[in-house]
Amino acid sequence: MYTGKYIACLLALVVAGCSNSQSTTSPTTTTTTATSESDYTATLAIGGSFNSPPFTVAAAGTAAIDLESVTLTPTGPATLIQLGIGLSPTTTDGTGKTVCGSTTSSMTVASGLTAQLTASVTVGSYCVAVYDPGTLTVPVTFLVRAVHP
Amino acid sequence: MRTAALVPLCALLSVLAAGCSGNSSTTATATSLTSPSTTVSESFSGSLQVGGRSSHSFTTTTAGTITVTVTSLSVPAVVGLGIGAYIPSTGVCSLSTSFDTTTGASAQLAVTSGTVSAAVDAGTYCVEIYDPGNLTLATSFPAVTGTTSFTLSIVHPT
Repeated sequence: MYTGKYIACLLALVVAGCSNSQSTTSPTTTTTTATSESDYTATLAIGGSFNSPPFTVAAAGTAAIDLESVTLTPTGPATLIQLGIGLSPTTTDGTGKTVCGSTTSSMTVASGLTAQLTASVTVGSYCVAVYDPGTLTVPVTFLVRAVHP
Repeated sequence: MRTAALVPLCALLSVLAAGCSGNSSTTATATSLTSPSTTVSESFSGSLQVGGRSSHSFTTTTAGTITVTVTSLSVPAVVGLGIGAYIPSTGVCSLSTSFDTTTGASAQLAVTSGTVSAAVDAGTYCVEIYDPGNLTLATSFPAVTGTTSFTLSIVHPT
């Protein structure tokens, strides 16, 4: 009797150990959202600020902004001068005109060619802002890029 | 008696255990997988005028790193080398990073090791070589008539 229980227990263990440990993974669905890119270039004066023309975000997602270039002249060598960049939703002024609102996210950066400021956006109209955070001693030319849904 | 009963049991367990093999008895086969290339290499050559600039644009569909190397200059000189964003509407190469690189001290054909690189997202970019104001030195060499021939090696994401 004792032997029978022992055998049953061992068989159960052996059979349990026969699992191939394969796990199934449910397929995932990746949704790709089309993006648009807008580039803006202008000269920024000491203490100055720039607002891009409004652009439309067609779907909720993430907007990415990067300050691509800061130069002393439009075709000059790159500088290490840092500028402020920001994203702002548009608003309506007293006359009903659409204008750039206050920045909802911003940061001070040197030029780079990868996304520097990212922000969640919803469908609507937005502006890119570039401003002197107090670093300018001479006017500079900048190029800023916005990639958005 | 109890021991005798366990003998056939051990045989049974051995058979069952042998059948439990998942992958342990398989022979590993080395398979060489070749990843698709994620970078493109190209060469850009031309002549640089005194006070001039020359740029080359290209588009990347993936993020990565752009690396540019001055592989040759026809005269010993200091030239500017940069990577930037290309503005199609104006044709301007708006530099994001740049520096001046020098050739060797030799008056013979000079080869520099000047390299500049930048991380990029997908987009349209450019590399530019320019005279930072030093190419007037080229006029010191009788064989040079105010231009400097160059060759750049460019590696960028696909």
